[in-house]
Amino acid sequence: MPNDRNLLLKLENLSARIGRQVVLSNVSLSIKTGECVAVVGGSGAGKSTLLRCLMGLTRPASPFEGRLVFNGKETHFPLLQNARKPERIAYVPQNPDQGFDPLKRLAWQWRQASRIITGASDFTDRQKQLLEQLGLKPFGRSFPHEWSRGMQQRLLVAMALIGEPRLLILDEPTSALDPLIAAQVLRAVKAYAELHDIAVLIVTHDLSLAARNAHSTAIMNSGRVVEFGETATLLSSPQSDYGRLLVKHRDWTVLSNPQSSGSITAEQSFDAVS
Amino acid sequence: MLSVDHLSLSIAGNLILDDVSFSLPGGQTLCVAGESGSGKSSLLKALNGLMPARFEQLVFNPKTGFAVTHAGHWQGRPGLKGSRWVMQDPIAALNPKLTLGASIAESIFSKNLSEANLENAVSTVLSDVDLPSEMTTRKPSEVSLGQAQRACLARALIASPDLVFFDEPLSALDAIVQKQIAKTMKQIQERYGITFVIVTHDLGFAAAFADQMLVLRDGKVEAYQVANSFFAEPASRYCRDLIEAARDLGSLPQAPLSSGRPAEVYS
Repeated sequence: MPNDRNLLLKLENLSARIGRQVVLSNVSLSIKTGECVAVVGGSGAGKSTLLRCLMGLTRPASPFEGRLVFNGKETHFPLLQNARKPERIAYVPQNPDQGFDPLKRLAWQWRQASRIITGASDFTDRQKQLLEQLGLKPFGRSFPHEWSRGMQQRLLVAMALIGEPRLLILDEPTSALDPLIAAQVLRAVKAYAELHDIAVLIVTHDLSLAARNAHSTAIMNSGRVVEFGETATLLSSPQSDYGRLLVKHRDWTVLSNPQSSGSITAEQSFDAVS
Repeated sequence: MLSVDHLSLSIAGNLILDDVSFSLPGGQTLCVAGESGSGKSSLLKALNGLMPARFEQLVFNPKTGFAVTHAGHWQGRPGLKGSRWVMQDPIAALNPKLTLGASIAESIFSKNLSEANLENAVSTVLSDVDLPSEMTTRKPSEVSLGQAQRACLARALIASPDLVFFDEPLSALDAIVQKQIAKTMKQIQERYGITFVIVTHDLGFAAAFADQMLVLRDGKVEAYQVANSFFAEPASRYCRDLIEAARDLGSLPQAPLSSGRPAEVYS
């Protein structure tokens, strides 16, 4: 099928549990090359667990069922005893405070990342170019705190891009940054991803962010993907109850819209799940 | 009303806030926006006497007709009488050892109410913030973030304040809960005519809520405008950038807005 050639990642029936509690059940997802996909869900929906499984991490949640085809390679989750990250997937944490060691110079941290990913710690021309494209200056002898948070976040993205990933995962790219900086980071990443044909997976609780950026969107609730499809279709005619709730609360118009007053019950029922 | 004239705040020689003035009529909402580090939270702290700020004049006029005027240094004083503060992280703001009911009741402990009256007050305020009454016996660790934030709202409300300060009240919550709590806040304001001062960097929220906008940048006032005109014709390049960024992130609608509140135009 011509469709299959474009397919970068295909996840089938992933289930995972922490102890006896099943936190992900039958999650399926597909991402095409160069596509931007968003995973949207409230807190406790299993978004982060899904990410961790994609990154090959088996603790605290261990996957017990499912199959992942990424970049032509196939992994069966139950067989994954010694966790290994699938190559060419890169992950950018939510917040630069998590991503950097505050006591080490940026140049040192970059060398470490580079050594682990490429095996060589020298600063190549390609890496210089990468920094330039994301609008970053040379490190000098600076520590993380000497840079602004927007620059730190972009540097994290740059580190993730050292290994020329095919898929870049952004975990809540906007929630730790103020909007001015978040928009700037997102613009830089999107421009770079488009240029180099990198697929981007955005994980967020905010459907409006997904609506602005993603080609297709998966809506998660209590460990399941309740809806997955093109963002535009999903926004115009959500199929599931939770999807409808999300779409209704997408923008701030709900404040001036008296019909939605019954939604407190919905909030509580979804709160109870999380 | 709350009126602040020429507030400035410096710490160890650094000017954190420089000549901030605003005047907010009672029952209205002022949203304070700006990047991180622009002095938004310092402004709240200064107004509550937690930081050594200088004023030319600070007038806070509760509905009782009691006017307070302070000139000069304002330091180490208790906050404005008749005001309450709702924090960003509800779990951190609540005492983990107390039940929600006890936390809420503690707010009016000094009034020495009888047990029955106290219970009455708590149950009224719980229904105001849409919390079921069985929540009074729960600890903060046993409720969701949204419910905890509602409890914080109740705790502020039970003292029947004239002014409530909010420091990023929604940024710890997820999108749906954010909007539901904002709705509750709006209902409360309409019911009791409380004045709100809200620090936020979510311009979508500000657009739906604010009567006045105050944008800070490096401690200086970048814009002080009525909300409608702020979103229609921002005063400066920087404000346009802020609005543009909010559009990029999807929290404000795309089209440039000609008139009226963005939220209404969009619906």
